[in-house]
Amino acid sequence: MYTLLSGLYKYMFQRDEYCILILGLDNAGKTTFLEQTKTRFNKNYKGMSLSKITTTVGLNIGTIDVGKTRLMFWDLGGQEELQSLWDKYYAESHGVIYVIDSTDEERLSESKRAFEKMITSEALEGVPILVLANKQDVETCLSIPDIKTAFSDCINKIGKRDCLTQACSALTGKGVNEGIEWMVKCVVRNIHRPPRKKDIT
Amino acid sequence: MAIGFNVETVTYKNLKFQVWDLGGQTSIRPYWRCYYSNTDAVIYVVDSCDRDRIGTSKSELVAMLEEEELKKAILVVFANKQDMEQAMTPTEMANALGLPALKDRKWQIFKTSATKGTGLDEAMEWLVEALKSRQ
Repeated sequence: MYTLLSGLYKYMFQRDEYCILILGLDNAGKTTFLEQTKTRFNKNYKGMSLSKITTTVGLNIGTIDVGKTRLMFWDLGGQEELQSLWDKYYAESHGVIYVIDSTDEERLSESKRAFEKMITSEALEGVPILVLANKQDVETCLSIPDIKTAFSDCINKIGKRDCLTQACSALTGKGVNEGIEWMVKCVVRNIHRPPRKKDIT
Repeated sequence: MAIGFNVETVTYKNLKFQVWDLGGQTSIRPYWRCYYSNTDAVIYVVDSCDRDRIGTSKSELVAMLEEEELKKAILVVFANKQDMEQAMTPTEMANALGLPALKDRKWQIFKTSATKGTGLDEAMEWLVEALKSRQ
């Protein structure tokens, strides 16, 4: 009887929570992506005006519910100096969203180096990675094939994990839902990193 | 130096801030907790040049953030005295204060120089937006 009741309680009042890291170089659009995501998935959330977003030197957080699944986001600063803080979050992360500025061809190789360092980290082994080619609303931006070519020598380092490159505009919201839905599907099916159980408050 | 505390109301970008500037000496620190309720944000001012006492700064901060009443508060760190050459960088400061261990709290570091007035506008501007967009 106890098992039945506690099972019912858990079903009613607990969610599976997965932690998602948002990484990428500074000015890639990580915080804008987080705000856009929060606005789209939380009915009552009045997001900050996207034009007021400034450089992150720290951590932004956010939670969304997608069906019975809860995603908790960690959006970290991307400046070179701050990248040394990224790996402090790896062990507890269930998924990574890596944001690339598709309009910044000059820094693409810098972004690739940071990406490479991240995916070869043991603490992230098997964790699904969503690569967002952001700022696709800008006409002159690089296409998905361009970006895949620039990142091509990383492919054999990705290892055994789910990985998807998705075109996106954090500003307009294009590609955001598709990316999030893909991430939800991947973290749920990754049995190597079980979720945290969280009471709904 | 504040021996007791200073209370001030500041209006910035149509947002009214009730600011409690609390004295920092060891003997006064136990009284900080009297001001925790209804706090939306903590501005923690750290001397970026005082490497000897950064450990104390960390333990006070960690103890403070464990308080239930501050669970939802945003943390803003002023890495102050940035006009000095030997000042710690934001990453050094983050590590020294143990900020990467904070996983359920929005936090941000600003390089400031209170005497020169640099970094303060930027920080207040950020805080206004952060408070408006709380989840």
